Formats: sequence, structure tokens, C-alpha cells
Amino acid sequence: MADNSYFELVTATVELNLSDFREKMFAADMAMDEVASGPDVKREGSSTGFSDAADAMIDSAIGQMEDFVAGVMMASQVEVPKDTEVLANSARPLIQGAFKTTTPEEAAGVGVPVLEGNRVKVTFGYGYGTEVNPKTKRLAGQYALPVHEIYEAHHEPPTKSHYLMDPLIERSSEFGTELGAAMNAGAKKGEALFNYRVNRSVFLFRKGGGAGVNPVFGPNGIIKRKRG
Amino acid sequence: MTGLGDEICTYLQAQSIGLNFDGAGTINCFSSLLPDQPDLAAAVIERGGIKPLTWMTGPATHTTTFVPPVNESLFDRPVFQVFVRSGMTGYNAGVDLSQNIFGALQGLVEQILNVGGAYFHLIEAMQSPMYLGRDEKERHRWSQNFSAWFENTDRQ
Repeated sequence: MADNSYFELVTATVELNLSDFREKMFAADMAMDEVASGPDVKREGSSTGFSDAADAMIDSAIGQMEDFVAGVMMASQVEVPKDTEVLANSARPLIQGAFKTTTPEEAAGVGVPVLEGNRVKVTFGYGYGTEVNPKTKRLAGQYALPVHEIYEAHHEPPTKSHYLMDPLIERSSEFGTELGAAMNAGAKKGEALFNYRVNRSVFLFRKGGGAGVNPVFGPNGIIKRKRG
Repeated sequence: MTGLGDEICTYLQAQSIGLNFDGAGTINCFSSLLPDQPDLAAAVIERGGIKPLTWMTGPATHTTTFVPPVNESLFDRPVFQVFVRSGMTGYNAGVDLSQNIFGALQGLVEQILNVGGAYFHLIEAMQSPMYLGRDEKERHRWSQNFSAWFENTDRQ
């Protein structure tokens, strides 16, 4: 029976703070609804163009964070000491070579980017699972941290201490650029969705016609007010 | 500058938290491997880090007028680890030393740590001190990691 008296995971967390981005996009949809309301406007449903665009960008960000974590963990699997493989197997997400193993912790959001309030967050690392080290009779969570931090211990190269921190730091400087590019791609997709919604709305407004304030959508969805 | 480890050790010694790097008496602060003695000791180890910034990089001396960069890789962003050890019965002394080191280094901004030393833009802790358990001689061990942004004049 493993002694559970000392247990500490080695984890890192990457967070993307969306601030009030989604709320502002939702407010923009509400504003569009308000502009487009009135007895002379024939319209179906409510505006979702801004919110859809925001969701597309966030989806892209989540995908990029997933790729980033996968890249870190693949590199980390090369560096993690493998005296018995128990520590390597305790990684979440567990990606070894080209293979990703589905683990019970994923259901709890470990190793998977999740949207929590206004933040996209992913926690990943080592020390998970119930596999017992056959040599020391301990769980990975009972020695993952000392192995990570004790720099003097000998490990057969390329395995080493700081087996999570080093791959993470090496890749972190590129992460912002990659995330920006992914969100930009998401924005393009969002723009397509936005244009679709706006064009559809314009069509419906024109169909309604009549007097009053008619919104006219200029390039890039900018709303201009025009007296009818 | 004589290396990041020496820079940090020299600064820690000046903070009067019980560390002696190059003064009189027992040396207990090391900028590389931790020797077996003394029991209560700290080591500062450079651990790589993020690639240097190639922009926002100026000369080593700060002036109010623009001077073209001398070396575009001066703005270094390494990570360093501070490892603390205390004797078998010295758990509290180890906790105190770890916390004092954390307090001395965390959040340092825009300053030269030592006379004639490098200019540090930032030193930031990556986590609080972590207890690692005991070594084969039952001595207690702690670790903490910091990222530093500084102008590495060794590269000129």
C-alpha cells in the first residue's frame, strides 16, 4: 500500500484572460437589435453576428492552447526521468510520441483548455494517476516534485530535472505569436459569420422598408444611421 | 558582471539574511553546486530561460539619449533556481531562509543589484518556495525558481 502522506503535483497553468470581450460582443448584438427594432422593420430572430465572431476567436484560441500544451508535453516526455516509466505515465495530457492516451483526469478538465468565466485555462503536468512505482512503492505524485527540483540528482541524458519547466519556458516565447495568429484566423472565420449575419439582416431590413430610422451597414459591418 | 549566480549571491549576502558568499567566516551561499557542508546553505543555479529580446535592447549604460544598440542580445531573460538546505533539526531555520530569500528577490524592478553590476529590469518568482523533503542525511530541502530580465553585459 502506497504511503500518501506526501503528495504534490508538478503542474503548469496557461491562462488567457478574455476580460469583458464576450460581454462587449454580446452588447454589440443587443445594440444591433435595438437599432433594428421598430414597426417598419421586418426581421427574424435577434442578432448573433458579434457573439458568433467572438466565439469563433475563442474557439481558435482554445485550439491553439491545446496544440501548445501538446507540444510542451511531447518535449517533456523526452526529458522526464524514466527509471520505471511511472513518472512519465503520470503526465496529463499523456502524449507519448504520436500517441495520446485518454485519461480519467481529462473529464475533470486536466490537460484540456476550458472556458471558466472570462478565462480560458489549461492545467497540465505530472503526478497524476494511481500507478505505483515498483521500486519505491510510491505514487508518482509522491516524488514528481523532488525529481523536478533536485538539480544535483543524476539522470541519464536526455532525461533531467526541470523536465516540465524547461520545455514550457523554451516554447513560451513563441506562444503569444502563435496565439495571436490563431485568434486572427478565428477572427477571419468570425468575420465570415458576421458578414453572413449582417447581409441576412440587411436583406430583411430592405424587405421591410418604410419610414423611420433604417440602419445601413457599411463596409466591415459598421452601422450608419439613415433617415428614411 | 561575473555571472548571474554570483550577482544574485552577492546581492543576497548584502541583505543580511544569514548568507555569506564571499565574506569572512563560513561560506554558505554558492553560485553552483551545493557542497556537503555546511548544512544550512543556499545555492543559486542558472537554468536557461527564454531567448533574449532582440528588440527593446540598448547599450549597457542607461542614458536619456538614444544610443544605437551595441549588441542585440543584451536583454537576457534567464530562469534561476535557488536551492536551500537545512540540518536535520533545522527545519524552521530552512523555512526562514527560504522565505527571506523569496522576500529579497521577488518583485525587484529597474535597479542595479550590486555596485558595478548588471542592470535588472525585473526579478519575478515563478512560485513560492517548495519543500522537497529530506536528503539521504535527513536534511531538509526547499526550492524556488525565478525569472530575471536583465542586461547581460557579459555578452559585449
